[in-house]
Amino acid sequence: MGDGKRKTKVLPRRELDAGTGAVIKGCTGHLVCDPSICGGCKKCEIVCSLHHEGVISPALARITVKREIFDGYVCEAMPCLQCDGPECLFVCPVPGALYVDDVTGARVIDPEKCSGCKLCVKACPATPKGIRYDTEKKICFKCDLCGGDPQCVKFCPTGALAFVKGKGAKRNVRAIWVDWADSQSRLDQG
Amino acid sequence: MSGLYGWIGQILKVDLTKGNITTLETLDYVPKFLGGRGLAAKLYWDEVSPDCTALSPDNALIFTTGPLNGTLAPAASKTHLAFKSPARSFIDALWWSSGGGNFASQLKYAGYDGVVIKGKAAEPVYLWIHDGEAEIKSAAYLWGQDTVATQREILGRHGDTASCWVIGPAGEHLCLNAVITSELDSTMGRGGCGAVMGSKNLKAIAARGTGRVTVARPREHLDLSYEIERLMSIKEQEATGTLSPPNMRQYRRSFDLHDPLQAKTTAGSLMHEEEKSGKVRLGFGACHGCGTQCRITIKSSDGQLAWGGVCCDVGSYRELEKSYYGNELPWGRSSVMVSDYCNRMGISHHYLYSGIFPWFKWCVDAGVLTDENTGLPLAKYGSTEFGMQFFHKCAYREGDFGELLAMDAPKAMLELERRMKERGESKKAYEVRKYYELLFPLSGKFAGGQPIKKFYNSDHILPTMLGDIWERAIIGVFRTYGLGPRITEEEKGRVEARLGERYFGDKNTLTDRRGFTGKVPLTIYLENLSHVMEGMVWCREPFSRFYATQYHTDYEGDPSLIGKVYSATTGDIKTTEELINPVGEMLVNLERCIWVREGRRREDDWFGDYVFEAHDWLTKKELKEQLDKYYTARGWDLKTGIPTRAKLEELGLKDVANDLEKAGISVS
Repeated sequence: MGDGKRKTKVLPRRELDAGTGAVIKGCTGHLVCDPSICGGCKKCEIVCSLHHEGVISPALARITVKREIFDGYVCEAMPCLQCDGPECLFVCPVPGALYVDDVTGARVIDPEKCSGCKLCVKACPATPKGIRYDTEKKICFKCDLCGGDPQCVKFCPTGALAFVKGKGAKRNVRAIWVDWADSQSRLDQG
Repeated sequence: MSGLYGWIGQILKVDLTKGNITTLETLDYVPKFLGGRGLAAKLYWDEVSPDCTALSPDNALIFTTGPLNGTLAPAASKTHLAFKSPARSFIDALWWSSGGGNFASQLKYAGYDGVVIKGKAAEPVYLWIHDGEAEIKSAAYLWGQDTVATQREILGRHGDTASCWVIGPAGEHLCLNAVITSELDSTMGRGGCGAVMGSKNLKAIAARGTGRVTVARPREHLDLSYEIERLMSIKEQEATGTLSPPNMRQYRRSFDLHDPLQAKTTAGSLMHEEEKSGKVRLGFGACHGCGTQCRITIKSSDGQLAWGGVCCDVGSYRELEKSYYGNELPWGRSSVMVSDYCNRMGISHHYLYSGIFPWFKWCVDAGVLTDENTGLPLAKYGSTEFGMQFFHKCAYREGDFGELLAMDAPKAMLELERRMKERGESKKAYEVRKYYELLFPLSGKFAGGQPIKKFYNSDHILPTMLGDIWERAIIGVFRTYGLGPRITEEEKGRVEARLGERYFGDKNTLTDRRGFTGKVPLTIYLENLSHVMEGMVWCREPFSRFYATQYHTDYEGDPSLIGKVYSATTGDIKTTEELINPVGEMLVNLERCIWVREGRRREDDWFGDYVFEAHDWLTKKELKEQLDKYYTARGWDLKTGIPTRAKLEELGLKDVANDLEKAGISVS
């Protein structure tokens, strides 16, 4: 951009909705996975797609399971962080397509309004991304906490996945995967 | 799309000689042949001639999935494989194996329900299947590598959600105890299938998919899966304080040093101590869609990695290790390292525990094998060094003894017997023969097969003789297998009496270990049930939960869940009883016909003389009567052991009966 030098965008900390100026409500809780218990069975992916889409396809799951094998099992289900400052919501160009659920506080995509521009996917700072694109329906999709009764938690056979109320837990779990400052520069790379 | 619930609709057919790939329509075979083992049997009937030998290009590797693979149904993670096996004592014949991991699901998401592979590639290749496409690719840089290195390379090329079945050096060198491996310790371990794959110059098959599986009634499928999962789940086990094998977390959470089962299953006692002190890190893994989590990795602070699981586990070498090192070695290090090496070489882990090592030790003690003729430091038997050398020799066929090991136990023992006789050592030859018969009790052409460790339960007799010894694992269905070590023998006996009464009308069926009470209906039920299980393709882990469970001895079990989840998934409405009979019944008959076509008759359904000598509770007269009863119940000819035409037609196998007649085999 501009002078040809590679720029690192540092976005201001935002907790206000740019449109209304109102404070964006934090999520009431977060999905948290304990990697010391998770065995990478991926039932969370299966039940997620079946519950939301009526078919079984991990490619359509709102949660992704990382599963390393060959240096010793390290497995962890990686859900959407339901960020306090949701970049996805800030960049969405369609009013109301990405909103905060009144009851759960989850950051939710309205499939009727989503235009499939994928700006939210690009903006998502997490690895792996919390938002994905459905190549058939041509819209984006993400975790909505199943309206408050997350099915992945229910079906997790080991208890690795939990829904934890309040703010504190999520940061610890994802700290090793998401370095906040580092993730900002990825916005340039899409 | 009607008719395709649970299935994708296409099966790959690969000709490695010509290098081309075509497809078959899955619905030409299912729901009639159910899926998994049944589907593979029908494909075998169509594709594998009784005249071809196991290591020839005309043999087929038939990988199949079932309607539950890739769905939410718990523990439906196995891939089934049917092939003509080179590893029996005398003739090559149908055998099968199955293995867990992620491949079955990935194959379906990639757009296929199975893969039939024939021919032989001119150079080493691997098969790569992804989202509706399949390619035969060069394995130039994979051939020669061990099972872990091969998979790292393939996943590095194709993405880490890919899943593959690979062979190691043992398979490449056509060792008859070679296996096909996925991930760390999911193996297709039976029948020398690794050698068949090596004989085709096929190093690996890999799949990755982003597609989908649809189910007929999603809500019901979801609810039933939840109900079944609750019977197995670790959450439930922990809540009820019954965490026990096969779940590996027991080693961390509720380890009991005095528990003989835990101490035996892996080098758990030492590992536990080492983990507490921070010297090793345990990792827990699961197959796709299964909460049992029966896999474990052990990583030491100096970077040594090994692994174990329920089936192919580290415990295989543990007793040998103890005989050499006692309890001094840190974290059972020898057994994990030797098992690790065995797995990397791609050699059957299970057989080494029940097949190779017992006979090897016996031969050493009997003076049949020495330092000179083995090239091994026998004084170090049980050490790490010994174990590694042993498996290296086998995998690379080093020297005369390496060649002998590569024959696998049945053929190797018969070869030793022959050599003893040639040298005039007839007494030793007879001893070798006796020991062989105890491990491989079948007489006749179909001898060999999976070895049995102990011939102690008479309810093993008929399945041992008539089918794959794997039937014995199914006996765990009623054997209160899931009931943990905290249940007393008395309580187990009460549960078994109740199950015997409920399913067979005789409370002694399961408890009468040395007699034949109710053993014919028990055998038939279990053989049929195993086809249902291996048709789905279900791991055996959930099955003990359908019939009994580890949480409490009052639990009656609910096998109706099997039919319900099958129906909700496929839309093919069948109860469990209907799946067991006529579907399971038909599939047993189909496999019997395959063997009949390959030469099996009544005289092959018998044991060697020494087996009767060694077990005074087993008489020839009584066994003959039981066999007569079994044949009658099955509808097979009493003289030949061949299924009658009437039976085959009743079960919808008229074409098979006609094919047998055309092959000159009379079907009465």
